[in-house]
Amino acid sequence: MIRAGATTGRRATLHPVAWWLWAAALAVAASRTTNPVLLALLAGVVAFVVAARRSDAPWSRSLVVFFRLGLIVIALRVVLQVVFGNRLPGHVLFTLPEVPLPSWAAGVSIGGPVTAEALLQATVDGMRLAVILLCFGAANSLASPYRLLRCLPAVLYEAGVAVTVALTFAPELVTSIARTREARRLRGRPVRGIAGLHGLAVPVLESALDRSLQLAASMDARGYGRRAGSLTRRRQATAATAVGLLAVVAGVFGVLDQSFAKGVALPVLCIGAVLLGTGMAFGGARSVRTRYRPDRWGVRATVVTASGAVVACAFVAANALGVAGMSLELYPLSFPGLPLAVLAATLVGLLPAVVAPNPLARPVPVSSAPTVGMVPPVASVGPQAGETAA
Amino acid sequence: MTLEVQWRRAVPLALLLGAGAAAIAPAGPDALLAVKAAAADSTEVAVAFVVDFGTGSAQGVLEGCVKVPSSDTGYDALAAFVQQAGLSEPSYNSAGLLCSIGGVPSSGCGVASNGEYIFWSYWHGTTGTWQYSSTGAFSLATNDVEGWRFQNPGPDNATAPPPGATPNYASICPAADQPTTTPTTTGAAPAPVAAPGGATASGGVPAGGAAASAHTATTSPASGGSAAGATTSTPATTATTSPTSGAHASVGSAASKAADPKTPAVHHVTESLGATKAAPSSSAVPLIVGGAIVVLLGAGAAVLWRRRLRSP
Repeated sequence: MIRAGATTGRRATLHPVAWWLWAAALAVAASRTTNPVLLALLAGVVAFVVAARRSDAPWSRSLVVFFRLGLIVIALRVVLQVVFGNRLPGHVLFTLPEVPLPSWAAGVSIGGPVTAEALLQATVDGMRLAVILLCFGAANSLASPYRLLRCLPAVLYEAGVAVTVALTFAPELVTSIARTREARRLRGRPVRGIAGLHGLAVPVLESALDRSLQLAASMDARGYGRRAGSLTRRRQATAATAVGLLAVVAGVFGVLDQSFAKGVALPVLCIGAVLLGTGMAFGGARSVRTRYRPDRWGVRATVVTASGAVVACAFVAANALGVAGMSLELYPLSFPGLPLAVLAATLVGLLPAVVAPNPLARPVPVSSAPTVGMVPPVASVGPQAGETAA
Repeated sequence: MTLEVQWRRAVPLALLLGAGAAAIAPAGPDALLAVKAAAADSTEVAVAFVVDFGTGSAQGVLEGCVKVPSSDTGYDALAAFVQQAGLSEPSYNSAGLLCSIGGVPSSGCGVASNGEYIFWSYWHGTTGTWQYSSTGAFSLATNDVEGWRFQNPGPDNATAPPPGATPNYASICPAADQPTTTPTTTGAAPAPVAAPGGATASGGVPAGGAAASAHTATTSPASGGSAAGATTSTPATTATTSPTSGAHASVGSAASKAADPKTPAVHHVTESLGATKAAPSSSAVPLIVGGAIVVLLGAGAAVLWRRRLRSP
């Protein structure tokens, strides 16, 4: 009975870490190109996979929210370029009145000639950031933040509150936007435009943070942040983990930012990884914990992760080898190319749309009234903070 | 329900955007130039240029005069001048720093070397002496002498060596005060070096070529053509004096450097004329193929998303 319940009563889900790795790999790929066609392709791949494999949980709409955020980023980048940006030479489309600045502010300009090159460059820069945001939104859409929390290594339980808030803030934000909008609509208040934004922002931010903190507190109450055993060993493990994490973050930044000295970034990343691994091994050995129905890392999770890795490797390699068409050519202004190998690798990123299990597939085909079963339990739990605040 | 309404609104919008992009795509990046052409006024200015490729270089010092619309920036004028001289156009990096003129240097952009930099320094010679410019070339002054000198390497300040020719506007652009009647170079045959500019334009450079070259090709023959119509009134004296001093893209001031290889400008021009023609015109095919895949993916995503909304 129990076994049957465990296999048929649950929906098939992919390991949340696999989704995050896939999305992170696509974000890395996006950071390696300034070709608008490739960036749009990456965005299309992300959107397709999310559309094909999202659940009906409230946070599965994260992608839409991050898509809109991306559009705002692009618009903002273009406006900033037009008004303050550096004046790229080229085909002048129009000229804004220029504010004369003293010679010591020579690097800054307000107004002036706006060229097609400058607009294109700003748009593509914005697109790159938007695609990275979209990848983040996809990870939030596809992976349940609660299941992800359960995969946290034991050492990080010490920093339980911070980690929980960091991991669940985006999905909670999306959830509480939907909740607050619904509440406002029911009361006949505006939900669109400036007026809608005015009544939306504060309750949404407040309730999202509240819910994240509440989750952290409830995890605390269940012993996730306990301090037991030899304190000095634990402290050493925690210190090693913290320093290792910082070094990994700095190293990843250095590797991704192409202007960073490569000789520094890689060693920092390696040292950080070693510290982190040691800290986790020692810290994790201390706390023995059982997990209720743990997520298993199956073949599908490996395939999903590998498909992301293929995309990332292709972009990183093509960028390092200087393959034509990886970057937008502004001088002379020309159409972007489309390196075939990179295109093929990008389409490999679509694999999860087929390989990953469909979370909406009915676990028991006999069920004739699926509507009730379709609502995930998490959606109905929790305080209705958004509604009361609105 | 509202989501469905949004999708219904989004689909025509996407189609409209796609149609607009498809309409512009065949014309290429030049499509937007019509906007600029309409905005540009008809007045022209003559800008004097001294482009020094540095000591020991094969190209030496180029000096010459170019006519550009007064709304052009210094970079536009430089592109026009370099085009007129038959060299490949200047390239810039993504921050707008000028990397190369005429393919020099062949790689790198502002590379640091022993505390100095390998870069193109920018100078103003309007006052008769060279002034190092710490800002970009966005405005054109009257009687403008624009100087560019390749530092290989050199300090990035006013102590860098200036271009190796005297910035004398009157001698570089002799007939500048009557911009509409300066036919001597195009009208009079004896100036052999002047021909390339006109020849490139009328000799049928493919219209779909690089945007900047197409742009300059449309501006320079226009002036040449209108001038040729008004040739009758020009005195013969100007025609005789100009080939010596005002010849376009002549290797400047031969006396200044004995080491100069003195390659005749004509040689330059014919050589790179072929290069200009051989420059691959970029194709819109990858853009269209990539765009089609993106549209397919987007449409697929939209359909799946909607189906999931309905399915429960």
